Amino acid sequence: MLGWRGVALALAIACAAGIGVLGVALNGMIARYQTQADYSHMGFWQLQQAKVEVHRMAVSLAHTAAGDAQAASSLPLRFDLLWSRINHLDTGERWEDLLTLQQLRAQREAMFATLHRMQDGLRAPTPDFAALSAELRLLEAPLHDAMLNAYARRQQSTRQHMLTVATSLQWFTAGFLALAAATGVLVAMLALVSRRALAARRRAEAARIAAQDAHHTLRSVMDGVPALISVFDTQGRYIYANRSVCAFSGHSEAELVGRRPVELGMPADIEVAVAQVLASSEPAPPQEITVPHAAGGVRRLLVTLAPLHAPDGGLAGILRISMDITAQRAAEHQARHLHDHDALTTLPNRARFGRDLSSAAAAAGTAPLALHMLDLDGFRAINDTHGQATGDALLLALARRLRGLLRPGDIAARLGGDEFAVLQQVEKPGDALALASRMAQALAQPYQLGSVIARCSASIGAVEVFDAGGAPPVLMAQAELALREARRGGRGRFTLFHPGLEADAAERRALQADLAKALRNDDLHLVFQPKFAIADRRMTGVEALLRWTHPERGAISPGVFVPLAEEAGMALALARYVLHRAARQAVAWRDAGHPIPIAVNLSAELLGSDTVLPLVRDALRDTGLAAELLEIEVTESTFISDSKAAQDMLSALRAMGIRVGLDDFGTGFSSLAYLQDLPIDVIKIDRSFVQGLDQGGAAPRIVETVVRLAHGLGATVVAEGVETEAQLAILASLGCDTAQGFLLARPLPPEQIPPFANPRTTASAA
Amino acid sequence: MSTHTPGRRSLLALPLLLPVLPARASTLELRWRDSVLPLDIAALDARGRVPLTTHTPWTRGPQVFEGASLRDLLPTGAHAARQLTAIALDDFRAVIPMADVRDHGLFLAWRRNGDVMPVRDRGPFWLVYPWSQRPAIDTPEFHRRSAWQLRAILVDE
Repeated sequence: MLGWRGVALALAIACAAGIGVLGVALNGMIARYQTQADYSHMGFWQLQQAKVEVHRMAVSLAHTAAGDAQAASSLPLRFDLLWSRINHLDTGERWEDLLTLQQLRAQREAMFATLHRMQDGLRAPTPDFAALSAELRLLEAPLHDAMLNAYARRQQSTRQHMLTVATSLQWFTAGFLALAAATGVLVAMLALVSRRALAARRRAEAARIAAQDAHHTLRSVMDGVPALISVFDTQGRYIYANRSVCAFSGHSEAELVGRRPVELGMPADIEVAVAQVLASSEPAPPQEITVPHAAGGVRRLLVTLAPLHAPDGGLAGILRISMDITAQRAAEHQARHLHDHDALTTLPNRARFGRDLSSAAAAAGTAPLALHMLDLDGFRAINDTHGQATGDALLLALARRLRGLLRPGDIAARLGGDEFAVLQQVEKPGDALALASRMAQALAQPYQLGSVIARCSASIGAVEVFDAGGAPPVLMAQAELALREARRGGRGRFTLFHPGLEADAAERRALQADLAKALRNDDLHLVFQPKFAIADRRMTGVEALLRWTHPERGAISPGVFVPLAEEAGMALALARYVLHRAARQAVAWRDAGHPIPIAVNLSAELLGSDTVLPLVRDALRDTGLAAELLEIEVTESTFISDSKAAQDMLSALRAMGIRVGLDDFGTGFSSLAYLQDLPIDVIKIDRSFVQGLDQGGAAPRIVETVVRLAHGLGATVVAEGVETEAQLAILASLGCDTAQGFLLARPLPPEQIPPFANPRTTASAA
Repeated sequence: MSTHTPGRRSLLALPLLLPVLPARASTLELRWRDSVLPLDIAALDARGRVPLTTHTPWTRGPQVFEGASLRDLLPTGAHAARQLTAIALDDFRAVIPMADVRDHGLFLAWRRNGDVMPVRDRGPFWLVYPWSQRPAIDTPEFHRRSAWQLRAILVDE
């Protein structure tokens, strides 16, 4: 008998140890994964910090270039911080296994060479800020690439981790079953040993003590096993519960024994399961259940039940063994969720959305769908102005709003950055546009983020799919195309894909290629439209207008080719071209004795960026034009995004001595609030108001109000598009200062401008 | 300032009413209640410094820091505060529970391996922990609180 007991003990201890080791290994793995995630997060963070510092340096450089003394004095410290961020990318022992930073190490020498060049540049007596900004951009690319790589690698490692957790859970289950079997044997042994001990008591006291010892030993083993083990009699009452059961249920063994689980307020399904095994005399297969825990909350248990037979073959009781696998399940769930979802908004990510789209597209024949691509307008400006934390808060709020708009079964996803997508179940053509319209409207409402009120809208491109067989990449491309079309119309618009868009896109690409070639070959040219003082018809300046004569298509309107250039990323090159050409022309006139002020239009898109200031300075420096002769015209839409960057930029231009004009006044939908913060020299009344002047209606009153508003702000007023003497007379009576239009002069080639500036008129004006 | 234990060397008690200096990289501001104490390396050196040898996650091999433990540096009255906020030159902020000062040996370093630390190398002030001596706090949670390029320390009551 001692031999039996020995074997049983060894078996139990081996199983308990095995389970323990598995549990510890699993927990260790989860902890290791979390540590790894922490470190990879820190690696991310380092990269992010380096990028942030590069950006701050760029802003400081731009401000210093604009003559900001405070920015200039903090520049050396800024540069030291930037240096330290690049330096930190390569130190530390624990990050040696962070491949991302290793990859950067290869670029380290080049990055430091750049830093040294910048250091020399900053120490120069008159630093060349344009060159410094260019050097700074060299630092940005490797950081950006490294972040993309780090992101991809993190997704990969999460996937790996999930697989490992799944595999180990299988082992865990196997170990658990082995334990269950061993415990069954043990309990049978317990009964046997107890009975034999009982018999022995009649024979000898010594034997009783030995039996008690054995009993006690077995109980200790059962108490030490990290599983909930209980035995029920044939009436469903507890006859044994190990320590884990007592701890889990919050009852002592004395309270449990002799009672049915429901009498103690435990879930009824324990009793149901016990009754089933009692009825069938067959072991119940392992099953996962959720039960309330005595200490609050619910736990996930893996449970198995087995009948215990008496030596005579009759049913003696039921053995129930369960194991708490809450932590393992939670880890598995979290790993899966991490892999499939965006960490910030918890929306599905691009990978998950791609799978959803594939299966939805395959079933589109019976369940039609619409794919929407959403792109936020002006998100970057919000990030730049209010900081990344506010940007993140905005994305969260927006994701919440988006979810609220969808019906159950529709899917919203964040594809990355400020890109979102929606998969909609539709019934008939038109459903997609209805949802797109609702989304555009709802997302454009202001966002209250702490103390900040942010405005942000979404442009939306959608494609409806009523047949199966559309390949997901094709659907994505079609929705993208519709999105681009929507963006062309302005902010917060939406467009549904139709085949015509593809032809349009091809045509636009061809035109863009031609335009790039024209820019390279100097095939664009400027014409100049004079502006006149209404009081004495003296020419006060000219507006430079860009013209393109296409070799095959003839003259192409700037209204067509300027947006094309912006779409193709040529806005900057175009602006540089116009600025330089215009400045050169103004210098040529000046040298010929005609100092004629010249106005140049800059696109709204450029004004929010850091590149305009160096561009204007370069143009002035390269041509030698005095800043006073240059006027920069911007449209009202520049301020719709409430972009502080644009305001700063214009203030910097003004500080350089350049005049700032507001074009197309009255056509935007922005508030007048920006006018109070922004000193404006010139306000140009849009031609639509001017042309309404002599046709009755409200136009004269509007123009009069604008004139008074402008004069109140210390700005002069230019009326655009004056075509009749009647209009001019009304403008004069309303107090308007300056006029421009076909009535006075058309846009002219440069050689025809000087006659307008003849000395006689100038003398009479003086 | 009557809450200070008399006899304990308290930095805040010395030049209490000095005007607030503009934040330069070489000055560390210590703020407690309404007082601002600008500390520069000369003043700190004059007060005395002790070595702390430890490894860090961002360096290779053991580093010999010199400085003072926050427990000694802060006035006793501040030990009962809720937490510290460490602010770096780039406005990075780390919130540090007071338990780190009382129990975990939080250390303000202003020299490393014999020299003062330039901004380019995490200077001039760096909060470190005695990680080599206490492996239990050598964890990401504590690493995150180790702020470098320190500009100010606020004592939050």
